Amino acid sequence: MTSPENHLSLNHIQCRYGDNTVVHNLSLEIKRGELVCLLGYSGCGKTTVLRAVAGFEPIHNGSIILNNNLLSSATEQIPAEKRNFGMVFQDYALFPHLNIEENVTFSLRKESRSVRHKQSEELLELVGLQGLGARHPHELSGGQQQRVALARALAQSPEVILMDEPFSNLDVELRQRLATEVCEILKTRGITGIMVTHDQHEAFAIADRIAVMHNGIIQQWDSGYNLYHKPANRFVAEFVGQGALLRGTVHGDGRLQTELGEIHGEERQALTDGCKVEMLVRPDDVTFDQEGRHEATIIRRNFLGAESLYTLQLTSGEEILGLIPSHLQEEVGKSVRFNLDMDNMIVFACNLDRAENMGTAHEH
Amino acid sequence: MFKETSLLHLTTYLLAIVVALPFLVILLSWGDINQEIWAHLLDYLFLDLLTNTLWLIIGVGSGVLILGTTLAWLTTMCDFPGRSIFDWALMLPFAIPAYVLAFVMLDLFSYGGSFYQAIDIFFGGMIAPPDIQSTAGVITVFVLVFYPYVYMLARTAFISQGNRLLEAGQSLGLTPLQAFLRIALPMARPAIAAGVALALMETLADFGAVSIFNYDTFTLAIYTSWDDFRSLSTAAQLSSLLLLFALMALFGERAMRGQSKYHQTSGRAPYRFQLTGWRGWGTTIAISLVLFFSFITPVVQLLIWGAEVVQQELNSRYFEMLYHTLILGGSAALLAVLGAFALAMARRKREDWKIEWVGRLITLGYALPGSVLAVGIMIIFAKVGLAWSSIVEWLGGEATSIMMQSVAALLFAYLVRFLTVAHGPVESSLEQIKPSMEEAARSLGESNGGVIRRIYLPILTPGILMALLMVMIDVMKELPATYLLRPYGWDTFAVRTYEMASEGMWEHAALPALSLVLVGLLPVILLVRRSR
Repeated sequence: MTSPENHLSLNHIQCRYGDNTVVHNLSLEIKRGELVCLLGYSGCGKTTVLRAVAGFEPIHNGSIILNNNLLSSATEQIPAEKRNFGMVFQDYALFPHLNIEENVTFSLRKESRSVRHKQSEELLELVGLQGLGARHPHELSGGQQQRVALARALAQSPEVILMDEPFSNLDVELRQRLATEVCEILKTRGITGIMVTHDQHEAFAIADRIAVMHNGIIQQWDSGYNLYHKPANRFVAEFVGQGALLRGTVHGDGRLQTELGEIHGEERQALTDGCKVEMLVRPDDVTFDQEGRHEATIIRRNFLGAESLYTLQLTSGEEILGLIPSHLQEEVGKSVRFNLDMDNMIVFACNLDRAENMGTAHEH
Repeated sequence: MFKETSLLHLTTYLLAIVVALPFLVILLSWGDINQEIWAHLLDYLFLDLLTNTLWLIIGVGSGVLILGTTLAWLTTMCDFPGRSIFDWALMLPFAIPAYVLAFVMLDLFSYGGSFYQAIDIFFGGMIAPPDIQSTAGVITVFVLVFYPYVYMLARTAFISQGNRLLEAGQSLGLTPLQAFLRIALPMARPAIAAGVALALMETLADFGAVSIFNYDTFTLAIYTSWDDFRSLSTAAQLSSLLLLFALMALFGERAMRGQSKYHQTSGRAPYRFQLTGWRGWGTTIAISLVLFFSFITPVVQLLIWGAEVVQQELNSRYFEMLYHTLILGGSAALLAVLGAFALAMARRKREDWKIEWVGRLITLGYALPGSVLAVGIMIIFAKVGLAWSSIVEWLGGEATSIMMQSVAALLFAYLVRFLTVAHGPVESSLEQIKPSMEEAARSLGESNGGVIRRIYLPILTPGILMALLMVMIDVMKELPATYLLRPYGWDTFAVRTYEMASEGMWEHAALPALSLVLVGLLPVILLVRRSR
């Protein structure tokens, strides 16, 4: 089952708290040196998966395998301290009674003092904190503490590093800078990384592949590009990025009758003639054009800098979003003409998909 | 780690039984009423007991409220000469036991005492020296000793409010004084009320000071019904009434303490209202007077007396007392900290509501006044002794009696009363260890032993030492339970101070009293350092 290039495999794992199953039959194959994200709302089971990989949670079915060695199964579990996985916690979990150097070299207890000192210096330089080894955790800012936590996890030269919402306590600007830095460090060292986050931008910034989770099930396991442009189901379409769903009916192959008239596009799914569907319209599919085919009224405008996000109301009352370069300013209340770029048409069958996915998407 | 929670839970339930027993025997004591004694009590004493207790509650309550809050407002929100010294010095009276200030004041204001003479010389004939052995005198002593509870809590509340809200008030047109009255004071109300409740609990529980002043209160009546009438049941019945007052104060404190947590804003150093000229110096003099009567006077007077007798008194008898005081304090501290640690560990996961409730029950022990506790424990030991001898006799042996007054009874009492004192620092040091730290240590390759050795022990040690110290010092100062339960010959500093003082032999009380003040200063210094 495990192909040679796969480093870490989660095979059909199931996790339970008492009678409550929070992870269902979940499988992931992660390549050596790959950086992956588990993305989803809180309570979707992503942290439980990470803690199961770390060895803090038992699994009740399936197996977790590293380099063809069994780490966890329903009956066996290698303890966390024997796994040599680095772990970075949401609250950093630095030891308050130790200084930064002692924190970083916590795992190097068998090394001599001079080796530990040298290691600490190197790692602190790597994370941009040179010279702070003698300080105590409470003397550092949140971002600095998170860097220490990363250095501490790297000190034991782990094969895999696990990060649980590592940047969620930081402000937005610092979050993105640190995410990029961490990504570079892990890539340079060839360390396999799994990060849990609820922030899709963080996931896009760092991950090679992203697993979108909902209700303990992986909804899609793909690159960030594909999650946005080829969402596998309605949940992913609504969770990743912005957009609107337009009702329509299928005619023949690839032609769709909607509010906006007939729309042609490349149809991925085979849909039968006459089927009721919903079509995903992303804000970047919309372009203003004085000779455009469609018409709508501007009811809201959000200036974002390079672009403005317009909320457009169609004659039927349905609303779509349009992301337009901000120099093409149009006023609220005005009627505009626009075109839809539907090369990449995403369509969900109404009845079928509603029954399966809408119920869950409604929670939010 | 510590997966064996069942052992922890068992210990916690045992502790709960230990704490609940004295409460139960006190509250269930009404089955056997000695009519003769009660007739006597109702005829001669009971009305006095009630009115005196009410006077104390009203007088001490309003006194500490006004004095403590005013002092806290002055030192945190105003500036005047000497402010930064008064800021911490006003906590020093914490180190003076009430019975010590009581007998010092009694001497100084009685006929021929230094203050009596001073008033006589300065105002000769215009005003009579006040009668200290009166309701007002008792209230004054209690206010001077217990105002630091209100001062400390109000001060912390004012500081943690920051000044942003006062600035908001001023921007809405309030003067600084109006802003204090309408914003800072209402926000600090829970903390202030909690301080008043603590002061009242201590007042109700006091035995030494009221006894020295001959002021009839419940604690004194409890002691009399045991010592004069040998009626444990009457003592227990009186105790149950006192217990009601004490529990009311405790629940008041708990409720207020809970609310005060919500008012925490940024802690920028507050802008201080400048008191200049005569107002500044007037404030300085007024606060100096408080400090003079509550701390400087007793310490200086004790030093003078102590110097007179140190030659004869610093003898083997003194060191025997020291030994008894330390051995009782030390073993009680160990017991209380062990109990507190088990309780804190059992409560840590906060999953089991039964443990939560048991934990709350256990910390009620703090509300038991020492004399009430002593009566409860004597009843328990008497019953156990009776049962024991009947069992032994039934088996055909010769019964050895179980002593009501013994070291075991004392340690029982200290454990019930001071478990809460130990619980605070132990729990807060345990709270520093977040679950993720243990997991971090594991992910860095540490096993069970390593996690205990490298994470738990070093982080817990300061809190445990703090708890040991605080319980030890509280036990050393504890008077009523020790006085009633100590085995023959086991005099502690507190007992010796009280015995000598109640017989008017001030000089002989000075050395043990001074020793108590000195050890009492230790936690105050720690408190002061933490509060800065």
